[in-house]
Amino acid sequence: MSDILSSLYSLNERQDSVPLLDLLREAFADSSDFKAALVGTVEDDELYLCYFQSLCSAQKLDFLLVDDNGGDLSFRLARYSGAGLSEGDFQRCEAAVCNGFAILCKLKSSEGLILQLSENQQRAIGSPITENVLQGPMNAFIESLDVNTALIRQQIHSSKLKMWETVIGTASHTRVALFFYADAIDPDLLSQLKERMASIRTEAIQDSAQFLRLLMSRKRMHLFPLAISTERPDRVSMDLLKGKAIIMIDGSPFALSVPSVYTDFWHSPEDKYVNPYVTYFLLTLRFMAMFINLFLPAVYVALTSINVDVNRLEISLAAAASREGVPYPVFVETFLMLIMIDFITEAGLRLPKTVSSTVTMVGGVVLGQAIIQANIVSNLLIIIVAATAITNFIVIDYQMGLVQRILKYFIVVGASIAGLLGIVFCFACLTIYLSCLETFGTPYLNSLWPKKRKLT
Amino acid sequence: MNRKRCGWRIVSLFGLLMFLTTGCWDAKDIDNRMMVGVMGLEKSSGSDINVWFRFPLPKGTLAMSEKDFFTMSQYGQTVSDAMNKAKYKLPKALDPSSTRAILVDESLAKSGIEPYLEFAVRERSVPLDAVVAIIRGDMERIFTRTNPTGELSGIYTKLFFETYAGGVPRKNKTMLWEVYAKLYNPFHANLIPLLTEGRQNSFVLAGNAIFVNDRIVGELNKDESLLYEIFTHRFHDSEVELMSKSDIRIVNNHSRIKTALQDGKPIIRIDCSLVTTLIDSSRSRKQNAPQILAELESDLNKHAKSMFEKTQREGADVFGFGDRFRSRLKPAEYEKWPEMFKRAEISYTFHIDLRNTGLEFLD
Amino acid sequence: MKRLSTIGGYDMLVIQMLYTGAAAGFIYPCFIIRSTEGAYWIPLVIWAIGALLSSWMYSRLLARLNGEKLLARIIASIGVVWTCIICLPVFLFLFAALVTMLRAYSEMITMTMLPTTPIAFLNGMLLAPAVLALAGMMPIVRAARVFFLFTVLLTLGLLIVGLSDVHWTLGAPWIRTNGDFFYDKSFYAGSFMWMGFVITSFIGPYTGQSARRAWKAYATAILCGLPFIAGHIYLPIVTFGRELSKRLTFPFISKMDAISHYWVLVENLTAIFVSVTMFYILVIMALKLRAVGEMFSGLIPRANIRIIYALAFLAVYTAATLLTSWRTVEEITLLTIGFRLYVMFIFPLLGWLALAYGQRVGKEESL
Repeated sequence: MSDILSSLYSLNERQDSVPLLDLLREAFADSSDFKAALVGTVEDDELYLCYFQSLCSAQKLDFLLVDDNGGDLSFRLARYSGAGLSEGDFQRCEAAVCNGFAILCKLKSSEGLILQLSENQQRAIGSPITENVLQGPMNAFIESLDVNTALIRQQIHSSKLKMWETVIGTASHTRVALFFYADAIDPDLLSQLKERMASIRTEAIQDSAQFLRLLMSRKRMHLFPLAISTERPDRVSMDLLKGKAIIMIDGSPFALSVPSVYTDFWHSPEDKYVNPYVTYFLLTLRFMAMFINLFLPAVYVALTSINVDVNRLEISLAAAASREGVPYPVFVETFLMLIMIDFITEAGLRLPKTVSSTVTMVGGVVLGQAIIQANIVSNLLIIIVAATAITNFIVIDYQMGLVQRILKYFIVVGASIAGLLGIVFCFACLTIYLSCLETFGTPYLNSLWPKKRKLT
Repeated sequence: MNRKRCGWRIVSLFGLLMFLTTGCWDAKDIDNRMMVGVMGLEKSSGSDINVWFRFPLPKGTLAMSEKDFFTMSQYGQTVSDAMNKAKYKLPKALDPSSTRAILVDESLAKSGIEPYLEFAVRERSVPLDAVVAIIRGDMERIFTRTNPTGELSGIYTKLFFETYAGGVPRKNKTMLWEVYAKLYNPFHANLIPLLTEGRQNSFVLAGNAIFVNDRIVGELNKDESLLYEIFTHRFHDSEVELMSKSDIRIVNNHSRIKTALQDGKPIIRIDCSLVTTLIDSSRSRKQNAPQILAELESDLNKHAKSMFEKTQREGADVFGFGDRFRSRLKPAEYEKWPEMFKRAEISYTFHIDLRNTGLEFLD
Repeated sequence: MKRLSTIGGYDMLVIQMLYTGAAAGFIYPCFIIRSTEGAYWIPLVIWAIGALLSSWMYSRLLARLNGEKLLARIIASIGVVWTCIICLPVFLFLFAALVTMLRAYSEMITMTMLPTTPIAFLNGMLLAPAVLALAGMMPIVRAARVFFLFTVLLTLGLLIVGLSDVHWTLGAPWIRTNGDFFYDKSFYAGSFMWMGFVITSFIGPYTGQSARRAWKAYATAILCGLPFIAGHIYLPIVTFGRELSKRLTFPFISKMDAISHYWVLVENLTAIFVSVTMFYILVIMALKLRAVGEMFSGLIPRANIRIIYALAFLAVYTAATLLTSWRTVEEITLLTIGFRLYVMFIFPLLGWLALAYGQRVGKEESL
């Protein structure tokens, strides 16, 4: 590999500027994992290799640092097998070091050679955690953008699958990629997205969901998730072909698919893999679950405290019997129980699996039984709350599920003020809010009646 | 700028909280209500009435008391007045919005029920689909005695009239809105079931009371009520018609009504076809099918005759035949219908189809 | 995204159907019930023809706009002052219609579901339509599409369940009429039911093609809406008879109260009816507010849109809250008959004349 040597010789040494090595040493002064190792001498000039010990692969470094062959530098350099080899000034070199590259430079040279010696820390491709399916592709994205790109490319073998990349974050310098399918995508959307991505000013991003918030540039907070985040390559490829753009971030296993409209959140990728009748049934089930989850506690409040005449006398009497001796008003006990069940859900979510089953036991069985016997809430309410909690788990999209968990309180408030009409009004307000939302130029409530797109 | 906006947000949040604390105007928890199951109206001294309330009690408190209901009565000038006064006696809010039945005492019904029922439509506190019945006899016993059949006391009255209960064709379930609508309709008079106190049960059906405007003027007995149901298409269930020697069940009926107006005299022709099955025939005296039919027909004719006599005498068109003359009469003539009905010529024919005549297992 | 900001034929149909629902389940049917002793479908059909005529006149007017808004074109033709004069009755009509709708609905709630909740609080629901109107026409359309899904099913269900306990003989006379309704104020008071096209005409730009499409959608909506309206009028009558129906404030609500079936899960169908009506009127009030807002932003182009809507909200809210008695609401409906007839039939003629005048002046200037 005389290439490296020859490029090394050609590194220019300008007398008027500070040498690269000194600059690098100064820049990474307090980083204990930064190394600047002397690897040998070439024509009286000392050669230094600068790198982050934590980022560079120990095996790849081996060829330069291990002095086993009597110190013939050219021989050692010949063992370098990395792909990229380029020269760079201080700025480039600094960025390269941060990315796990190593810099080979002479003591006095103002430029250095950048060697690809990085080793990314990543886990193996596993199966999806948040979007399990019983049938269908079982692989999921991981934290490496390159691996994820490969996964997407393996789904769509076409030159029309395009990828646009940019770096975002003044501190983190995170790679952000935008995938789209050239024939399907709306050019307006594409230019708008690129523009918005270019105009993002932030220090760092860690996850794609966070990226979405930056992307929606406006200061107003959005209650509903405006893009699906998925970790399934098959879903991504499906969305790409539908004409959506996919945004992926290096370091996050979740891909954002924009624009996503309300109904997209109710489709599981599995829907495409099963019998269409089953799909319709499942969709109906999900929407029913959504309505039950949103409205059941509120309906309980309305029917037992305001619109008593709407249900049968028999039910009213049963409800009255179960509330006999409960000292709190209906909406207080409902709030109490709803918050309790949210505590239990939250506790079960964050804990390791072995412990979380205990939490479920304690929370569900012991607490539920005891709270009735203590006459704090009525046992009818326990049924309601349990049904509410279960239906919340039916929601496909995790973020949408979270939103519903909040909304349910909002509707309960409406019900406790104005009964059934309060519920209806809250629902109308929600719909009005949703109809005012737009995601990247597409109305959020758009695809209730999807227009059939012709296959060209 | 930002702080100002933040301030506004906090102010509006507090405003919302204010709403929450001052709001909930109509919130009254279900265990703080006394739901009226049945209401009874009874004549009291002068123009006052005595209103009975029967509240079914939730099962939670049932363990302590042996009764599953609570009864109270209250005097008042109107029902609303009595309800207001009753509120002073109760620990919980009186809630008539689930009332299932309104029982009216016969003596009150004889002097006119309209002033006492009007509150229901005006105030909309009592549901319009509550069942209305006239009670003959002691109201107090009906309200204070427990139902041996054990149903929740308030619901019992409604169940008594439900289609799945027995004897429905003669019971003539009448709902509050029907009573009210017929009070205003010059072509249609009310026919409200008449109940008497039962020995073993809360009440038994005695017949149906004929109303002219809002007063009782007569009574149809049970057999006549059956014909009423057949002629007015209210009869959808099978019913046993007892005869002297054999039992016959009417399983299907259809009646066509033709009306005409000749020189200001209404002519009404009823063509009634019945499908009947033979259930049981007496062994002591053998009857053949034509004989059974002839007997049934004469029975029906007899009842129909007495029924039309009763109603025409009072000018009470409980059948609603008058509605068929709506387009033939001028709106100004509508009020004359009761008089016209008295002069109406009503004829009826029965076509009876007897099935199951081969029922002779014992021979 | 230009293709998204035009109202399609289906959207128009949805909005007009919602308009029918909002008007039919309301105070206007009882005006029709009170207006005649004869058959009710005759005034209905006469009004439907009137509505078609009025909407046709409007659609001819809109077809001349060439992608501009109606008011902007009129202002350009005859100037702001004259526009203000011919639009004043339109504004008064819209304002009165908003107040009546809000107040009548809150009265309906007070009578049925929330007897002690103050009307001032109930009127606060106007806030939601105001926000929707501020957000623009497309959000209204989208909300309308969602509401339409629910309301059409529920209203149909209610009408079908309402067929129980009917006696067709009570509906007679079916054919006879003596034209007495022409002399009755209530007949003209019911005109509001037929003004859906008028309100949408004031919103948004039109071209010749979109005006024709809108008119077609409106005609379809009238055809589909007629059974709805007839159901709301006839169902109480064939249940209670004319005599009682005329005395009831909301006959259809009493009809809903009277339904009782073992298999209907909900004991009180009125609650469902009132809830469904809420969907209808929220959208329609938003539509009317939008029309008022566009009118003002056309006349005063420099005004802040938010302030216009806030003022409109406050004005309607205050007026509706100050109306204490139900009789006043009915009187207002009777008093504004003139405005309504003006808006339905005279305004399109005036607008047409104004446009023609503007064109002639423009031609003379260009010569």
